[in-house]
Amino acid sequence: MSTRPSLRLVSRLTVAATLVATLFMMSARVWGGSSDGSLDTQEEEAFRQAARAVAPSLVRIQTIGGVDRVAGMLAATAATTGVIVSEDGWIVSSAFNFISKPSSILVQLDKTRHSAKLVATDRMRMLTLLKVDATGLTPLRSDAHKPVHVGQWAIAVGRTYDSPEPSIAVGIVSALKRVWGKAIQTDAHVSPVNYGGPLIDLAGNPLGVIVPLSPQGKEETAGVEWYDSGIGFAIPFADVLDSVERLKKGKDLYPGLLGVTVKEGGVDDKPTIDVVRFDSPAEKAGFKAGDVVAEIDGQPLRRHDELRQALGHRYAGEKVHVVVLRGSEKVTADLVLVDKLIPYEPPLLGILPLRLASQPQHGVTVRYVFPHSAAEKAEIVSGDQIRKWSETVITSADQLAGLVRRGRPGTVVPLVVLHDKTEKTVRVTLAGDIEEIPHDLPAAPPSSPKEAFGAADAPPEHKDAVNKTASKAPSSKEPAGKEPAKEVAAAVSSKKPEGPKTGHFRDTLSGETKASYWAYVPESYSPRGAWGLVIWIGPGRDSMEAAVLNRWQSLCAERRLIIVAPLPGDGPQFGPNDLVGAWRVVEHFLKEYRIDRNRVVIHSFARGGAFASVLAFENHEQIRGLALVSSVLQVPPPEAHPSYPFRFFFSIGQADRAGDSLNQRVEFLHEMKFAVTVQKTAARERGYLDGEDVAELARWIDSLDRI
Amino acid sequence: MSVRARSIWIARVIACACWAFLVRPALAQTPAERPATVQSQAPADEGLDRTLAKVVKIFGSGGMGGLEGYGSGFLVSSSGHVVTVWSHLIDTGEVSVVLNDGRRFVAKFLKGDTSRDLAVLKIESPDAELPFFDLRESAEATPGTRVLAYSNMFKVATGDEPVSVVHGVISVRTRLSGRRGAYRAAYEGPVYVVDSVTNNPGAAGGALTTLDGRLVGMLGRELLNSESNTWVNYAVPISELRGTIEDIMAGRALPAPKPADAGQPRFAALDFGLVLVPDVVYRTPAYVEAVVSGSASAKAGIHAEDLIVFVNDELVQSNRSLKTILGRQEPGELIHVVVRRKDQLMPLELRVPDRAGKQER
Repeated sequence: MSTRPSLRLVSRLTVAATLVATLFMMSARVWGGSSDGSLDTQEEEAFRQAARAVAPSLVRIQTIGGVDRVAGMLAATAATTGVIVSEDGWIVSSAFNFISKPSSILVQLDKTRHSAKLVATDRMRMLTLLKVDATGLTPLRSDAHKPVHVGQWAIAVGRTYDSPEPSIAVGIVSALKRVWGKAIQTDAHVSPVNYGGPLIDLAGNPLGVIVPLSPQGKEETAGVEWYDSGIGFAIPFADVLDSVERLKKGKDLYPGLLGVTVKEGGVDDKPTIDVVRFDSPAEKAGFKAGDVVAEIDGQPLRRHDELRQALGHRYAGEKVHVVVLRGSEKVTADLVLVDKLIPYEPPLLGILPLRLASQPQHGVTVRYVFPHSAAEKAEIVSGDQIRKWSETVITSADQLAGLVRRGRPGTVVPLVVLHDKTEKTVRVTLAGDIEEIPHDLPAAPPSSPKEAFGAADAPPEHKDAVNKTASKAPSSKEPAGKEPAKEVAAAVSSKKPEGPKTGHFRDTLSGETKASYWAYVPESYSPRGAWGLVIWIGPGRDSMEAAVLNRWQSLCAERRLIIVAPLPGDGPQFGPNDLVGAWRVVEHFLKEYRIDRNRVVIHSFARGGAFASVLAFENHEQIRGLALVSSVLQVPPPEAHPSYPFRFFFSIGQADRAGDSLNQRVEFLHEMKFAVTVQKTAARERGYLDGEDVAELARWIDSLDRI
Repeated sequence: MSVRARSIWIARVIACACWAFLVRPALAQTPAERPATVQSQAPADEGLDRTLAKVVKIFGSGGMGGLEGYGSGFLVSSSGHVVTVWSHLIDTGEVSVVLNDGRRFVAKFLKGDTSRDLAVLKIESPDAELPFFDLRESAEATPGTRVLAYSNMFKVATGDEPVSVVHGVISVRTRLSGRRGAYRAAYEGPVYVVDSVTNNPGAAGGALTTLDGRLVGMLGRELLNSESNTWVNYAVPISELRGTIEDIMAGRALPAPKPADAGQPRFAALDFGLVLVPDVVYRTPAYVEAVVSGSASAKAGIHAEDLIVFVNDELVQSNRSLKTILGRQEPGELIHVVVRRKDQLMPLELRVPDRAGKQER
């Protein structure tokens, strides 16, 4: 082993000699000397010598065991490359080489083999540090202070092949500070053949360590799709050594997160905060949407992509000094970047509040207690009145809901509850949101002159009434959607000329963007109680008006719901151009009718799902739920946020082949901590809901004001 | 085709197109038009023009089963011997060879050697002197050697257009068979791996040369290395093919191909006295559960809980692969086994039993 450094020195000298010879040849040509192709030969020799110079510091890595699939692709089992960075056995490689989580890692030095321990992984620079029990190794050393410049030779070296000499791929440095300031870019062909190996210059100096990277992708395999394409990356060698020092502590390193998203805009737009993530460093620092990030660690930012340039190469745990501008006010904060933004998980007390026509003086009366909920465990029953949350006097359901949402599952809170005319204090431990909708969820109180139940001692008790009404739901045997829409429309009536229209009607909002819709407002509508709003997005030009009315008419009265169906403009189905018009219709209803803002949902079927999702997510601050039938979510929702509760309902036929992809989406939504109710129907073909399935959806809507 | 596979495919196509564009303008220029600054590359360019005339386009009677109906080859004699890869084209009946100048000939299949992935065709040209690669002047390459790959990849060239040229360097000289089972090519000898995307559809059978036009190898097939899930760009060194080509040209009989490894394993792990852990997942590591006392393994010093990692320098990636490796050992031989015991690697020597089913007592 001890002979290695001198061998290396010899190699270096040879390289230098070669270069001198090359230069000599070049000048000879310029001066009209021989042109026998020696320059090419000399350059080839230089490539070879450069690779030989680093060869003693390269190891061949083989792995045993591990999973066979990662991120949907087969994990490789081939040998990979690593770079020795110390005499006593520290070896750095590309994290990609260990994504299969092998049970054994074997490192082949020149002739000897060692069992290696995986020490830690840097998930920002995608490097993995290994340790072998050996001494006297030849570390790769860099002639420091040598600037790397675009256009210089770059040779990618690997030890993957079963060959005495390393494999080489020749190119140039294409760019510096790529992928958010992290990497050197090269057009030398890089692939699993040399990931983990060094990118070197013509003199055998390491420029960096080759890793797959992607500016967009976050998966651990991101960037490998660019292999051998002429776009390759290497982490600058000085950064590799910095990472190695950190990794020696045995803890994985993560990219540091601030917890904001920035508005996507023109290239020259300032970095304006769009969303501040719940519980993130940015939120704790008091940053707000609309703030403009002006400085990171004293470095002024002018454009929105500079924020990512400034933070994209910082580790979690690092301290950052941030200056934001709020109007003319300057807000500064020192904060510590985090490795993970934990999604906001909405907690639940587990009650439905009594819906009131007018605000009570104090307290929230419990209309229903969900089984197995925090409230049930605290022995709260329907009819009880919640008067205090810790020290805070409760004056409205919205206030109580806001307090609950600021907690998290597991939070323990003392509540003062009025039960049987006596106050008692109970301790509740908040749980997570529920997903299963109880069958016995009582209907909203019937519309009657005595609708304003102000008194706590008059809780409604209508289990029987519910069951009776439910049995009146339209029979599934009725032909769906067969009757011409016109006939239904003929039944349109508007008995109260002074108030907003009721019954089934159609209309068009005039103005710049014409917006047509049909709607059904139960005849029993009165502004004395708040009503839920169901925004129906048909699957195409055919809005399924008759079928939807047929299923929902009686449920609307029972659950106090209004249906409004915006219609597509000119196209055969809804398109992006319809977003404005459709939302105008919704806003019209929010204004004209007394709508319970906790029960505004978008509902769609089959091909309408995509538009419905976009409409819901673009206006997620006003929408409380998305209910899709026979449709799989195509767009990701915005992050869950305590101010904007949002829940999902999916209905799918038991035999539907889309079931698997739906399950994936549900899993994804669960990771984002959304409550997702999934209904599996017995339907063989993709049809709209029927009978009990519609009633269940109506109950889901009716439970959205749960606290 | 998965999305990933497709994107890789697209990347490859783009990469190839780029290379093709880089190289083509140089071809279009006559020496007189070349600016003085290009003088330093003159030898390469002159070689290029001459070399292009030696490479041919090969067309079969239509592609079948998703395989291309076209390929590449090169002339190795002035009388019209064409070397190409052994492929489905040869099996489809009539094969035509189109020369650089656009002349088309129906080729006669002389002979092939499947173990070398090689076929030799013959065209009857009225020209007495066709341009050709002289096999005696072929070159050996080492990592770093700059090379040019000539082929009709993607059938870009039609009629009298010359084939496409791609540049790169030799990445390594290695053996594809070093990774058993990873490659679905019959050829097991050494290959040159090239650092650029040379092995495209229709490229197999093309010529790999040095910058000054000396033949280095014959471009291989499109191969996916199943161990690294990447496409391999390789060429078979001409030194591996020369003898066979000359034999075929001279009408000599080829040596009988080596019989393939017998399918049946000779030994089971228990014949060595090894009891392995149950094979539960695809990549169950080859941990030893128990060693039969007095067996060959016991004598070799293998312990229970050892992980067998190498047999005769071959990595043992799983329980399954150990069984395969042990199965094909020669009776009575001494084999080198490396086990991992508590993070240490220990080299041991294991005697293969004389006969299966009867271990030494």
